[in-house]
Amino acid sequence: MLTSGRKEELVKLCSNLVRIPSLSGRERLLAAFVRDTMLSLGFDDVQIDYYGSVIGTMDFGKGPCLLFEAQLDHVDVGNPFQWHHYPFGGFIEDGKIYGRGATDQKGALAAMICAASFLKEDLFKELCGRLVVSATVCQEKFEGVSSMLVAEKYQPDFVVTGEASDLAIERGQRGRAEIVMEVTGKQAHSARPGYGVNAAALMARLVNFITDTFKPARDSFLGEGILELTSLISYPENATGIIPDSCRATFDRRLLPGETRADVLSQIENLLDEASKRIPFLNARAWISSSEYQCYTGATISGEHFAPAWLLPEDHPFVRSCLEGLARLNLKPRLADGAGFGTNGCYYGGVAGIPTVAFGPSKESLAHVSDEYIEVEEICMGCSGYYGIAAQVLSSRN
Amino acid sequence: MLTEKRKERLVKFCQDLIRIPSLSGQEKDVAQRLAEEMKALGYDKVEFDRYGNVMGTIVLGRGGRKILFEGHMDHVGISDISKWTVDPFGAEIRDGKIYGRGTTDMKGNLSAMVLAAAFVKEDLSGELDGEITVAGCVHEECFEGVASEEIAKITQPDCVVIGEPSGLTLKRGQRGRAEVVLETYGKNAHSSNPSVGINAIKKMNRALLAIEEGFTPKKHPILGEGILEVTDIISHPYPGASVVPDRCRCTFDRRLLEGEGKDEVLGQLEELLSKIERLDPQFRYKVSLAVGEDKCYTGEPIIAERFAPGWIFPEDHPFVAAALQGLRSVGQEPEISHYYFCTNGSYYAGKAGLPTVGFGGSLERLAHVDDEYIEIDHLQKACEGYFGITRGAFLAKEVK
Repeated sequence: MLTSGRKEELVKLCSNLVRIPSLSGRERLLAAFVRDTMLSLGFDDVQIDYYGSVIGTMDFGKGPCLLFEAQLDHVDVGNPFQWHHYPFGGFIEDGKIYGRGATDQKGALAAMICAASFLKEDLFKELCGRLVVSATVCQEKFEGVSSMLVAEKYQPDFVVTGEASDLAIERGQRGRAEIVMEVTGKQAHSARPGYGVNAAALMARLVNFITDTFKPARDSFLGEGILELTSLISYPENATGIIPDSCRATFDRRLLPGETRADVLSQIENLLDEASKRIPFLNARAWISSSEYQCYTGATISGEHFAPAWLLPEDHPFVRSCLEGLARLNLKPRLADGAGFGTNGCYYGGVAGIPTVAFGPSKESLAHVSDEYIEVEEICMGCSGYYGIAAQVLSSRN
Repeated sequence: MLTEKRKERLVKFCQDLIRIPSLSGQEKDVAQRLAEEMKALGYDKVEFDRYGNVMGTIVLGRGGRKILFEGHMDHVGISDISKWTVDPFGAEIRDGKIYGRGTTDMKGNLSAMVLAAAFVKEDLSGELDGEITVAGCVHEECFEGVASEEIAKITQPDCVVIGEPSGLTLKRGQRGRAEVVLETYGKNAHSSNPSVGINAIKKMNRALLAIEEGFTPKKHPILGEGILEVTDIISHPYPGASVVPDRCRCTFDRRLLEGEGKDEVLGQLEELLSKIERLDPQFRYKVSLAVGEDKCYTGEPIIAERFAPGWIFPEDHPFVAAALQGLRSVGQEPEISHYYFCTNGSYYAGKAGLPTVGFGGSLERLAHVDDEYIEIDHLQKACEGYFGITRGAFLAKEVK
């Protein structure tokens, strides 16, 4: 299926996607590029929705709707001095395409778009239903808020999200909650700290207590429900001459199947109760964060940062179809033996209950790191995989 | 000494200065006003330097000592105007007080210095030999002692009087202030897979606990403790979106005792942190002094490490004794004490080793507050005090 000409086209598309920076809320240029690419590759319909996600449809007539989704945005570059490659270069070196977003998830997006186009060229008469490819905005900021709009409009029967899964089928993912902890102290002049209570100093103790005390739950398949510190800040910001009266820490909590919002909060509140018995003057509270974000379209995207986990049984028909699809293209049909890092499927699988898997080229450990890259060989196999899955799921012989 | 006419002129000049806002870096107009007053009062020389400091000098007789009276022209901002019941730049007089931003800190005392030097010339010119310089200094609020270095270079004083509010007591020292920055470094990773990264906040917390346990502030019988207090902390990238942060920065306010130098201040922390480094090979950090950077109204950049040393002179130091003698000569019997906050004295006494005292009207605690004011009585006593200190310094056998 993947001729050398098609491989070249695929690699070129991936490089081009990497070359257009697309931080969350600033995906406008990349969205325009993706729309034009889809149109030129023969998608029957391309829409840009309210939040700015680009959604292309290949229409094969009556039948099920299969949605491929990859994110359009990427995380920030971090410290550029930790990079040895220009983060938006998209250059190929030793068979790897380097750049921010290459693994997470521009490689997968390129593979999905090309797979859809090749399918139409090769198998138009043998397929039914619709294949929808969505390049979704603001995935790094919100779990599933922009996906909800895609799901409502296109009503997919099956979903494949393009998380880097090392080309295995992931039949579930951990969910995610973002938890904010706030310590309140008392302001005083920093020359006279005895008159106040230093919230930053208390936070250091609290965080140490939590790091030492929190024991994550384990699911034999999905792994640990970890709690990881991601941000810390004291208020007033950039203060001099004053001791901070407030300090906030943000944690990334990964969720296992069955863990609800209330479970997560009560667990944290118990920890804070324990901590306040051990740390004098501690006055702390916690909540699940919510935020508002401006999309590049001007639309406001908002929501609480809570997305539940999901897990399909091994013998679920959709899981079986996906594996068969991989085998069709001579790829190793492999189920992941655990969950990846992503939460893109959490809306479809966890909230909407749509049969969902994650499948994508590259390794999760290559996401959000300096010198992010994706191997050319991986993208090619990813493209074949998407091709095979769609060919199987949308086959008119079903 | 202070006739009704002189009192009137003092109050009016102080009001004029208050009516000219002069945030740090925007002192041009108030500097011009000071220069104009100095010229009108018959100062022998009025000059400006590259930072925009204004210096007026009066020469008495021949030879003799050089005394420098220094006050800063800038003031802090108005954080919430709704908390003020008067116009912060109106210089309104109510119940014997002049109200406005900078009355206490410290245009009141600055106006008193400018006039006191002129009154010395009018009243005592046959009796004394020496040079009196009054300097209005820029950028004190965030850069204690930086612009002062230029003033000292130009005027070469033998002794210095800082006019910060002292409640009319005689100050012989203060703790200094350093802003110390600690950065810890880690490695970015996706926060759902944190084991492949290194969380810089966790490293910071370990450092903070080690510092809290291991740092014992030195004590000085008069100045108090050389404390180290966290004032600011932030992780990078902030806010992190599913990323294990690779950098965390914490700023400390370190109050300095006499003789505590940069190397010692940084070295103490490095010693504590190197213990962690030995146990944890992933622990990477940097300790440094914060660097401040701003612009003067002249366009000249002002850049400096935030390090203003502490200083104290013994009660029987010749200049402290001379100043006390001089204050007594105008009928004041001041207590001897020290400042709680940091002043330009950090340069004169702490860095240049010049005999320095502080004296001024109004109370330290009235600085930087809403409805700031100075009592007219204090303003007048400050003016008399500067008159007396000049006489004391010029008549003393020695000041060093």
